[in-house]
Amino acid sequence: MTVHPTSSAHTKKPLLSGLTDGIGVPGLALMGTMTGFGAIAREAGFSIFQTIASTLTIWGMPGQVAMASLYAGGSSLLVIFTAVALANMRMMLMSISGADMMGLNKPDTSFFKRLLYIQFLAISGWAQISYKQAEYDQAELRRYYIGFTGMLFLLAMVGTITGFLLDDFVPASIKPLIIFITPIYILLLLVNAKDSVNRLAGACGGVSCPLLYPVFSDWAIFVAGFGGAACAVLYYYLTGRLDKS
Amino acid sequence: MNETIWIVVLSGAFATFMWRFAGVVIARYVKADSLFMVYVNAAAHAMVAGVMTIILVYPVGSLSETHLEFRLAGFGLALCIMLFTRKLGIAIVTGMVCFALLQSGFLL
Repeated sequence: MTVHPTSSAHTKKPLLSGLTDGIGVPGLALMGTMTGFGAIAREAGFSIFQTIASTLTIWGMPGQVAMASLYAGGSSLLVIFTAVALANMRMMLMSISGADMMGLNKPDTSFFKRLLYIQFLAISGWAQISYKQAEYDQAELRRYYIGFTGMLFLLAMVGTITGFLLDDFVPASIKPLIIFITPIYILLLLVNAKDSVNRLAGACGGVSCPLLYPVFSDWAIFVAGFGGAACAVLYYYLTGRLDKS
Repeated sequence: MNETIWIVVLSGAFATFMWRFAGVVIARYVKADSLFMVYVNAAAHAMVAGVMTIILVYPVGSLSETHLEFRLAGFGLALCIMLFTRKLGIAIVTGMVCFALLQSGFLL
């Protein structure tokens, strides 16, 4: 089960740590991927304000890419809505999980405040707090999250605008390298997740998803996600190691 | 056309927000130490890992113009370094350098 530390030996303030951690690899990686989205949105016919509004309100890269790509391909509004909803369905699990990690479910936190915290939760931020969960207590983790996601949000906006305006000036040989950063960064964070049951679930999902993809297409993510988690939890439950995970 | 794109953006925003909203609502009624919460956390980890490996194995855009074996070699090396050293920054930089050198033909 999830165990939260009650105190932290950190001397650096969580908010500042979040800000500085965000400037590093995660921020640059997100800026790079959002540069890609900016370019895709421009090709699809979006204005710069519509492109910025997409990042601002959706804040979920796969859904944003699906939306712009499908619109460019002439898909109906219903198809676009469904595709974005499916691409970002994992937000619900991450919201439940993130609220648990940061202790947002306590009665002293208003519903609006919870919603505001979660509105800025995406893969990078969620993976980062999962990684940092062992180092901070819940109040500190919330401050860390504010600093980290605030910085990510800022850099993502810079990336979106840069991609929209300067796509032609980014050398083609550099683009794959920029895009490559995000998946390896997130996967390495998951390797270091605090609870071993989550590490096993990540391994099950990560290995099985590409194998299932040729059969299930985009549904492979859900099959691998729910199936991988079931395998991991079942294994820990049956071996009696769940409480020690 | 301009109005249509705004409607598309708004529908995309709603399609994402509804999951976040549902997550916040459901989270209030789930005990932090319950088996269900353990499963939700595990499913989130498995799903995110799945999304990331799909990007690595079946990429779209400019990453799709690179070789699968080079992407996997870069990730594999980064993973090994992470497991042995626990240094995230070193692991990522090494993985990227490996991928870049393989892709450029420098190591071949």
